[in-house]
Amino acid sequence: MSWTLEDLLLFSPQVYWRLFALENEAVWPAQPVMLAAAALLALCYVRDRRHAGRWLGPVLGAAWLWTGWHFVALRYGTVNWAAPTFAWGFYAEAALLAGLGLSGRLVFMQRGRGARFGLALLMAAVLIWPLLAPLDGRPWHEAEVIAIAPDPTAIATLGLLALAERSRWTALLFIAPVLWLALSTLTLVALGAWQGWAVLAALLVGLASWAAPLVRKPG
Amino acid sequence: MGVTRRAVLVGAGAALAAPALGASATEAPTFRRIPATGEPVPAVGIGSWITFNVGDDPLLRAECRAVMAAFFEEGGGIVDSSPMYGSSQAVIGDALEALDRPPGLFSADKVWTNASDGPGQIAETTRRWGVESFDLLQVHNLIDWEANLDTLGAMKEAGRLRYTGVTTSHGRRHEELEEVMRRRPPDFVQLTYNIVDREVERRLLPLALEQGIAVICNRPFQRGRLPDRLAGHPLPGWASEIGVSTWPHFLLKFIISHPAVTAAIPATRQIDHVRENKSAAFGPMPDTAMRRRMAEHVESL
Repeated sequence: MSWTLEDLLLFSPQVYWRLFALENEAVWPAQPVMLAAAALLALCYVRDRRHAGRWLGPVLGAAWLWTGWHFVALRYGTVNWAAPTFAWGFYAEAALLAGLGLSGRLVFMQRGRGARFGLALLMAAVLIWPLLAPLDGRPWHEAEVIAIAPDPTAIATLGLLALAERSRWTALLFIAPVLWLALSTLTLVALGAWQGWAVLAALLVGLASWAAPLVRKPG
Repeated sequence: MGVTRRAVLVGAGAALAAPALGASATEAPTFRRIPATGEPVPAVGIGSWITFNVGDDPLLRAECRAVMAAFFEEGGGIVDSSPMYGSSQAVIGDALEALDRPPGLFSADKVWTNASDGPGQIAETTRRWGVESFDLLQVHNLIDWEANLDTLGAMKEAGRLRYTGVTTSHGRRHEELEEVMRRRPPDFVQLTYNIVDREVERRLLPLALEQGIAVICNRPFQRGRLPDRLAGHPLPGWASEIGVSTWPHFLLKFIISHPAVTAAIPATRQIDHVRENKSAAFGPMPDTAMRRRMAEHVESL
């Protein structure tokens, strides 16, 4: 006998998906509020890109803090004893985003191919991720909404980072979303859920968008 | 545990209560004796890995309670869990409370930490189950096994535990388990045994018989993979000779008919599955030749 990814599982797919149903029920009507807020933030960003980092950093940080505490530690923690440990990564990301944003180290002025990938990721996180549950034939109340569920929050963060000016500080912001999305991919693939491949695709696009501006054309 | 309403067929000295192949069928399920004491236990218990880890979900907790209710209606037996299985212990405790502490429970859990943290973890496990003490506590996956067995031995000595055990799963660490069984035999060992994972037949099961150690078999269905794999194939015609009408029956009868095996602990969250699993302990059991035929048949598919 040899280990398979499935052997590391602690819960069934049904249990995992119902975590989102229970969370959505607990925070309703935060879902439409979050989606409307995302639209409003996008508008503000378009109007003043240069200073957007000062408020986008803390706002996104708050989303990481809430998701890490309420969903990852409290909700996911009921079926995965390691989840409260994962939540520390969310808190660290929250603190970094808020700190870098408020100190003016987060500037979203990047253009080019990487930035276009970033915008695509942001759109996917806000608009496509809530649709994955119904696309899977599951009820709407299992939808994964940004700032409530961790995957779309992490994907949106990778999207925003693709728009950020590169620095060693912004590089630190990649650690938590990349680790979380890698873990989420493994969990979903082990559960036999195709969504795992969607999360992996988002992770790869996020990494590619980060790398894109670093690749200089010869000459 | 007390002997259940169906525990009517425990012949003196006989480990296997149901008749072997060829004898007439019986209305009583198979009980096996724990070698250390001769106490009979139902040959089909229930595991809780994955299936009972449902967190605080009220809907899924109700399903678990219904499964436990069906399990005890069918005679009860070993209920096995571990601190590693997330909320499974609390879910079992919740079900036991809802069922008003049903008779027929043989409570089995594990210690899954280093020996210095062991007593604290056992206290927490006891609280989650809502029991006063356990029938069986096992060292999970041989973690710090010597020192943890000291703890369990002391608890048994003090009358706070009835049986000690050591577990492995997925066919791992068999050499180390063999060493434990030779050097410091516990009352129980738990290991992976099913119709395709049969390595334990070579050394560990004969050694358990020799040393008088009870054997609990986990992953009897390879977490559902085996029945899924076999579902597309018809049962062989001769399966009716051993009272088998479904593949899960076939797979469970193969396991619990091994002379060294005390119980198999399939996990499920479906009432019809728990009833089907429990019914595998009824009727005639395959003898050695039939068991070989069963294994060869599954290999050939």
